[in-house]
Amino acid sequence: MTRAALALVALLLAILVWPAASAAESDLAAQVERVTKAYRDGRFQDALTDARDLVQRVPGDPTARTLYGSIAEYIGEFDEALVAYAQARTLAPDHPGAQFRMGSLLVRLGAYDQALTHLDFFVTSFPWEVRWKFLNGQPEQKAEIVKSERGLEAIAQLKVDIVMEKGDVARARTLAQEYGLVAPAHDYCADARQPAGRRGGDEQFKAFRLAALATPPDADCVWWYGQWLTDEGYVRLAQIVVAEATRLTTSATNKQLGERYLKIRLIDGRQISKRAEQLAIIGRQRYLRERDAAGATQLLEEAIRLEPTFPRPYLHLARIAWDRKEHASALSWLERALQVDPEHWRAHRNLAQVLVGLGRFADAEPRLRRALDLFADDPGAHLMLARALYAQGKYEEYVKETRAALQLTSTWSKQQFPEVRDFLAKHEAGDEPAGLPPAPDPRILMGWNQD
Amino acid sequence: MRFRRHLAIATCLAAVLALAVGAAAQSPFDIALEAGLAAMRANRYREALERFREAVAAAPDNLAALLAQVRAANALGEFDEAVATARSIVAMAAAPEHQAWLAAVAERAGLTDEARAAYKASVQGEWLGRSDVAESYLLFLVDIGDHTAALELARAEGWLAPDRDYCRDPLPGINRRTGMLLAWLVHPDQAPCLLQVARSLTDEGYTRLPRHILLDLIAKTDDQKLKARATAFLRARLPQHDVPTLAEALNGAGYSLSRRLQNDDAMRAYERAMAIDPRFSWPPSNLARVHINRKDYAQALEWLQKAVALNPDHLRAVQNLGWTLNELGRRDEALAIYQRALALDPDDAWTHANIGWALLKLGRESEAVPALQTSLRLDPSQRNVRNFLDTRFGADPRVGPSPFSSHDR
Repeated sequence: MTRAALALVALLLAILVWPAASAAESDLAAQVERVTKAYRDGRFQDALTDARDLVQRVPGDPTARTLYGSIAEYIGEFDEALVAYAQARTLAPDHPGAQFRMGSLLVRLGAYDQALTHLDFFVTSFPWEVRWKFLNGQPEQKAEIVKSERGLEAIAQLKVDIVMEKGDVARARTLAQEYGLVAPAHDYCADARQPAGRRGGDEQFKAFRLAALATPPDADCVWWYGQWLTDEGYVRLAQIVVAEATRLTTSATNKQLGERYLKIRLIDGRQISKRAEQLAIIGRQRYLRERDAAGATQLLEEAIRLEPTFPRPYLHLARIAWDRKEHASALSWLERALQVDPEHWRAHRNLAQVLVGLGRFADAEPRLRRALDLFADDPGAHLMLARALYAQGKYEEYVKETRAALQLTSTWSKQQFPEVRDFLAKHEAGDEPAGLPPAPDPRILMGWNQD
Repeated sequence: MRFRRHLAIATCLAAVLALAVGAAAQSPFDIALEAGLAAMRANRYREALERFREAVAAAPDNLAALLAQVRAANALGEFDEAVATARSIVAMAAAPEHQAWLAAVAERAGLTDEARAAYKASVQGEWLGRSDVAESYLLFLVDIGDHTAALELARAEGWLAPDRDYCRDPLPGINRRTGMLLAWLVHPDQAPCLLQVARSLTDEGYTRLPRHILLDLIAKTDDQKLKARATAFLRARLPQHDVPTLAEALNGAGYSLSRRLQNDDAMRAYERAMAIDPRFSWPPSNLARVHINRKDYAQALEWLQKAVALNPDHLRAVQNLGWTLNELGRRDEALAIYQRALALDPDDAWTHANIGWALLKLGRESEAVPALQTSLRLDPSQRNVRNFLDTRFGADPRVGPSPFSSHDR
């Protein structure tokens, strides 16, 4: 059960070990199967309903409550999860699965100290000698245990993340060393900069994270890690990491870049509710991965209620509205995002993109200029502006913006955009092509995507 | 396959051969034997067999050469030659390990009486590897349907104990599956682990035995869910008739050869299997896989269509047909075939993933993503699916509360 508790889906593993010796238990196993099936099919609301039924049928079973809580947590129903885990712990105070899940949920709610306490309690499910070494041993003993116990490695990694998110970066680095997650004098930044090759995204992310935890830290790698976190929506941790990179760098230009990035990508370093952050990233995934617009909308609206000045949920709601062809609603969400954060680069850009999509080129032009003023290395925005300018007969500026985009893509992209070049060549040759110039939207550099 | 059990024998053989080779000067026998062994190490069994035949011709009484010939012939599915050679070895020296070789190859050749006698002789004395052979003997007896003899053997080996639940309690000193197989013999009405046993046997290339196990399980169990799962597995993964031993063994040899990139010999083995049992859909399906590996999708398609015509419920063949159609650019047909595969096994992560990839190629991303997501939920270890989704949408934060935990799978 110790390992089971570490997998997301304590639920899946719980199902595998569910006993079914009698007819009544077999019926119960069938109910668990229904929960799993609904989860696997992405029918999360059904999974939650079935899990509620399961708990009704075996009210005294802590595993059933933990399973129920896991599903509620997975889909962002944090209050329901909190109650389920608390009840599981009341039924079985030593239940390691419930302890771990409770710790996990408290991280999502920003109750970091409580989360750490629960994780330490979870460690008590390990044999005495193991847990003593992990909690009280010398650094080399801790490192040895972390290396040999996969479950404890996960706890160590989680604790490091929590301490860093609390803002104590120095302590996070010390912990990482104590647990043997980073070795002194190893150049993790060099590892992280290796070409991706066959390495997957997870491995590359971990390499940047280790580089950020290494001593001495390398400002550039800390900076990249912060940008990666920004893309993934971990706004609170990203603010801390980017601020750390800005503090570490000796380059005045990079300091300025860091400060600017905080301002236009990370709401000027303003602290937001952790719960709102989590609701926003879970809501986004529910929409993009499962196309669950209703579920996502509910979570995103709750995030806005909790943190009205956090622009990301507005952007995600605008995306959902746009995909539903509710154009006025999309525009409204984007305008509200700009009201709460007028310097938000992505809000300007997305609003401009919607206006271009609606053919409102004159309205889009100032938005695009503002977006490019905030962040110029964005070929997609240059191409959108070029299209808007062309549509308004501003041909010289169209040429200038198209060239700027092609210049950017030739620097760091493999894409050549032949259709863009072809249109430009025809235009310059006086052979006026039909329609408007194409405006593909290539992926931007790390740190500027996914919202 | 079963021959893994004889690893110990093979190790001894290798040592004997090394001594034999080292002791003598470079005679034609030595040269042939050494060349044969080198070819075996490189998995070039056909060439190895030729060299071993030369070695045996040069020294007909040399046991090392004869045993090497048995191994090479067996690997190629040349069971007649393997049996004949094993017989001559036993005639020269009826050691139990030699009897074990004869038993194994005779079993594969479908020579049931000869295999039984050789197995019996091989478990008489004490020797290295005996216990593995005893387990193979049990499997053989169960496979030929002689449960009485199988129980006698189990009793003689000390594997039986009163009130033991063979599904639940592992037997010390023997393979877990062998222990669970006893559940079928001793308490067939209470043996849910037989589904697991049947799955494992099927994955190793057995057909008849898992089929019989499942038919019996379905008839006897009161657990409706287990019954449904066993029925679904039987339908999707096993032939609907009893495949003759020789056809099954040739298909197994072909599969093993194909995995060792001996594709021409693999194809020969599959063709012989098809000649022996024209209703058996596995050989044409596996033959198609050889063509798929060579990226010859047109040829693969022909064989897969034959396999699916023989058994429309053969899940692997249906899946591979979908894959091949997709590779040929016939994506709409591929999608229709994948839907058939899903009907056979709705929880197959591979099928969901391939539906996703095909939809992506068709530009239907909004449908592709949920299919890929389902596939990942069914099998979180699918790195390519996860990498695609994470690159597109960022890591899924729902699987863990912190950045590390959502990247740590």
